Amino acid sequence: MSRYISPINPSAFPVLSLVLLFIGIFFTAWFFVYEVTSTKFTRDLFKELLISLVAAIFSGFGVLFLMLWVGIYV
Amino acid sequence: MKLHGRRNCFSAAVAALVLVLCSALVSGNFVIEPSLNIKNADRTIDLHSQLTKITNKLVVENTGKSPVKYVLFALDAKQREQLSYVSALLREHGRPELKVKPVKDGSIPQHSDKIFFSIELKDPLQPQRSMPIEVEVLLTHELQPYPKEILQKDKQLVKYLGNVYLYSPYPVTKQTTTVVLPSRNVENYSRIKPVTQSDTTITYGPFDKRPAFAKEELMVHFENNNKFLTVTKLERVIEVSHWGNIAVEETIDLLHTGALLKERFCRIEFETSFPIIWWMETRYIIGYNVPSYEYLYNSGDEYILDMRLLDHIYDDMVVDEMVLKVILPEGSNNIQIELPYEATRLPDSLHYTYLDTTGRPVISVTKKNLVENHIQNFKLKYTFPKLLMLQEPLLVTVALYIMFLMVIVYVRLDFSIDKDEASESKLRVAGQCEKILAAQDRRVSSYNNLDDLLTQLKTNKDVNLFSSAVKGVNQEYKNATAAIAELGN
Repeated sequence: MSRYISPINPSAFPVLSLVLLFIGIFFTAWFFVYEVTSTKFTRDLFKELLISLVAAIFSGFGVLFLMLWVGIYV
Repeated sequence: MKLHGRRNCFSAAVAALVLVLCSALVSGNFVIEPSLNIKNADRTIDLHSQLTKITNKLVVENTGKSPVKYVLFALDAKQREQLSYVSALLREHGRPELKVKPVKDGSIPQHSDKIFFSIELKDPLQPQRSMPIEVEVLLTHELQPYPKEILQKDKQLVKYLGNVYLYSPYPVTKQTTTVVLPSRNVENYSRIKPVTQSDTTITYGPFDKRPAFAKEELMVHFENNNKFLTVTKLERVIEVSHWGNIAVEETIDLLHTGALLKERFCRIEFETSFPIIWWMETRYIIGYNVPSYEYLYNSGDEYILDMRLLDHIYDDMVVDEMVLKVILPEGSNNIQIELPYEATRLPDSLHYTYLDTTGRPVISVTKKNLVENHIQNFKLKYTFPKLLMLQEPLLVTVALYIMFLMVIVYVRLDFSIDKDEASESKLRVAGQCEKILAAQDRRVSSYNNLDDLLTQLKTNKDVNLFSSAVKGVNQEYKNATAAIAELGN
């Protein structure tokens, strides 16, 4: 038995959450801009799914680290 | 061996019965060893604080013929509610601690009105030998304020009722009892001869031989201006997060259990008189976070949480009732708890907080009447698959993705009742134009690429490289042209 070390050093939480959220927000913005500007004749479903998946993954992890950063230890 | 007839059956039954009785004696029953004798008992009753701390320095003698493995220590059953902690040690080099176990009620016949503890000796006490041991007993709520109500400028007087003699299951040859008080101001005390009072101590004895369970009431009425403060209820919640944090939260209900105030509290008088704490009742919550590496240990997926069952609140504290709750991460299983002393384990429950699905397992333990000596560590063992830590971020990811999918579906819904042909065709044309523009852009970029390749060829004269690169550009150009042709149809 050795002392338990968490997989991610808590001092890295701020940087991680900022970077991940920045990327996540970028893709989210791209997704919504695309949704608003495209018409039903120009839409590409595959492109929408791909952008939103990337946005969801980065925002998801970003939100988790934001929670940990502010002290909500889930 | 063959058994024939009734007689054999009968003898077998008797043998079985004897066997059962013997095993019962060995497993749990205790006897007051008649050969034991207390050669000398030095008792100190410390009444400095709100607690009663009794230190019994005993010399136990074995006058019998066989070695003795344990010594019994007794208390009056009336003290059951007040009794908090009993510990024993050997009075020799290193002062090794001795195991003290409570004896089950009623396991010593004819003494059901007493509480017994068995002190296990490390090495059995051989015949005609003696052993010095020390037994410490802590009792709470024994000092009663008397009078019950006083003025703010008054001194707090309290009354103690106890036993002048050692309440021992064995005869005591010689004993003295010393009562240590916090001040010289003693109103009254029992005059049981021989008695001497000097400064802040009252000494009774030495007394000559007394039988087992000797009793004579000892009363001391004295000044005690220390705080009489009781934690009526303590709830200690420990929440473990594998992201590197342990959150501790204690909800403390405090009650002033000293003398009550006759009149209203006066601030000015408070500044000049004894600073006894005058509030009656209060509740507060104290919470803090500690890094998990301080108290959590692991090897693979096996974890051990090693923390204090009870923590320090104030000096000479009394906790009437405590509930400890340990909240483990979601998905923990194989939970086992090791307690430093006897406590009641409550049924496990579930706790729901941020990003939980099935709930976090909660282990609860409760105990009554605790003092500082109960500040000891418990060990909680559990298994937690590391991969489950990904559950929380993935939960957020899935939630966000569902939101995006809803947007994708929503933009495809058409709620218009009337189909507007004009705007529809306008949009279609705009869409086609966009596609043509995109294709034209691609064509323009392939022209530019070709230009670049030509300039490169001029400088490095590598025809092979040029022809292979041109193939790609040509393909791209063809694709774009085909797309435009398709749109034209």
